[in-house]
Amino acid sequence: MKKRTQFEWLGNQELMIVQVKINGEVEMRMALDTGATQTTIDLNMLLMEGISLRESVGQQAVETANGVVMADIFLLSELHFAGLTLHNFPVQVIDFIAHSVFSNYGGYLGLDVLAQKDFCIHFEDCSLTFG
Amino acid sequence: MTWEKIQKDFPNEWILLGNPEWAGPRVVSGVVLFHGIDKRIVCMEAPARRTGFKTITAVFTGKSAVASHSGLLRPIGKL
Repeated sequence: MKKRTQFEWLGNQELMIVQVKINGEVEMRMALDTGATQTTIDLNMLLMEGISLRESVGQQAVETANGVVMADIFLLSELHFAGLTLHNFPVQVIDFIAHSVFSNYGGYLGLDVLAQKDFCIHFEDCSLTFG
Repeated sequence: MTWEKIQKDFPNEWILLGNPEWAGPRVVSGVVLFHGIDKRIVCMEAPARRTGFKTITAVFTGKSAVASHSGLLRPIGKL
């Protein structure tokens, strides 16, 4: 069944922001990024759960607008977005503060989540049909 | 506490909220558990303060210090 969810978009100079819940308890605003193959979460969001870097299951190099950085890989027990729940889902984790990302969102939702279903972006009413 | 009151009482701060209520991607209310200008410190307070709350979040009451441009190509100013 298709699920329609709202996103925030304040115009051409801004990103599309959606709401995501991870591990059943941490809710956050994330930027919708159809140009990213993998979902990336700010380390500070994981710190809210008391998760430490020791729980990383690996690392990988990531190309960003500021060059190549090393991202830690974490397995989320649960990622919930627009009616979809993914279990044991791997995400890249980068310390936004250390990489000078001073944003008011907690990460980038990439194609690894969006491609789980068909999706359609409706800019007229800032909604996303997903399912 | 409503989001409008939170913004008024804690301008340009990071807020740790318990049981936030959302309207789409926007927080409309929640219980203020901690606040401050340092995102890291606010987030690290969460494990000690989240007991009894089903969900938590950290949100900024101001605008981002920089525009939220992202992606491979982004403006760096006029040449």
